Amino acid sequence: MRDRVRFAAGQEGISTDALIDALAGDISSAPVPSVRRTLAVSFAAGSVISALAMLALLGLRPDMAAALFTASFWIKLIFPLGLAVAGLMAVDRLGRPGAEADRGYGVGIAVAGSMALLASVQLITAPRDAIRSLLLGHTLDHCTALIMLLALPILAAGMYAMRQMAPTRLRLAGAAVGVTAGALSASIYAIACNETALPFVTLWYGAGIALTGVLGALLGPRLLRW
Amino acid sequence: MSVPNPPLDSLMIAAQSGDEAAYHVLLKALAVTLRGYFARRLGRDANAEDLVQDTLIAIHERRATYDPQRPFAAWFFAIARYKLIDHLRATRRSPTCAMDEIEDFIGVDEEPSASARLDLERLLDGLSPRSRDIVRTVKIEGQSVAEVSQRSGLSPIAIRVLLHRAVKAMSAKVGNSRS
Repeated sequence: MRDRVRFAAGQEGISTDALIDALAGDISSAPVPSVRRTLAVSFAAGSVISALAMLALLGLRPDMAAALFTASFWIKLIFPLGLAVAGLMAVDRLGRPGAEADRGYGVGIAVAGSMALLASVQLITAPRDAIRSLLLGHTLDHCTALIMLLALPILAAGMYAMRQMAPTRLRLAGAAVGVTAGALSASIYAIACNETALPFVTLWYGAGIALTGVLGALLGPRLLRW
Repeated sequence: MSVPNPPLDSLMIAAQSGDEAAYHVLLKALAVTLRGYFARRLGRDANAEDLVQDTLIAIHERRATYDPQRPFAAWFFAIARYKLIDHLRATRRSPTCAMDEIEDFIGVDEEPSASARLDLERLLDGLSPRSRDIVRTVKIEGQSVAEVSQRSGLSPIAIRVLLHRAVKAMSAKVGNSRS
């Protein structure tokens, strides 16, 4: 108790009034940087690195020109991009104290739900002996892992951006950054991947995105404290 | 949580566009609100005023995260709550101890034995990355507050406040491990 008294306010350090004077004097010199721009620049930079890594490691899918005219190519691109939009909406909210990310969650659930629906329709209408390949594809051994690998630069950039913000729920904020990174990575990976089955994409792209989200949730409390 | 003072929203918006006078009025009002907020939750805690200052610095540094479309009070109290929880987590079971001990410990470093350095690293580990950086550069490498300020973009006064807190947190840890 004796020691507590020594640290009582005003005995050392700076008086609150002096601090307020100093902080107020600090603002005209330093314009407020836009939080949204930091987010946009960071996630874009991470995505560019990830896309370059994809081109260097995997290259475009061999049947690229033909694939452009297939529905599965575009669905495979739009599904993760939709999740990325939802993730960015959540990131923007969760980085601000006192804000809820309900709209981001709503969009995310709608996108994932639509994709699951499309995949189910394809499964139900398929002949029995095709179901196995619709679910497991032919790239199962590396699909999810590569999505997570390509997500790492985006995750790093996203965490950097989130650190400039003020998240108050660190695990949740980390998870949102992770899901966004995983979703952007999956849409980049989609250009290299020649799987066409929607159930495969839903399951294993979904797994890559979800696991990157888990990684973000684990890192959040460590990286995002302020 | 009720809005303590609706004009705070407009003061904050003015402050975000660089209105120093509005910002000054706002911070004064927030300091009063914070003092009450923390006093109700901490009782007669000698650190309450430090927490007020910490929170004001946090508000200053994170002011870009305030969205003018949304209520200021929600933003403000979320930061206050975050800082309160942080404070409780850091100090709940750690009695503070004499600060001179830790000052000596960091400042002199006559016998840089491995174990002492490990202890120091462990103490530094408990700090936020930014505080750790400031303690390192100012207390260990001996850079001036002005130099650190230029490099980090924080105002000198914010650095002095952070340094003061960091040293106190470390001394609290030393006291804790000895008891």
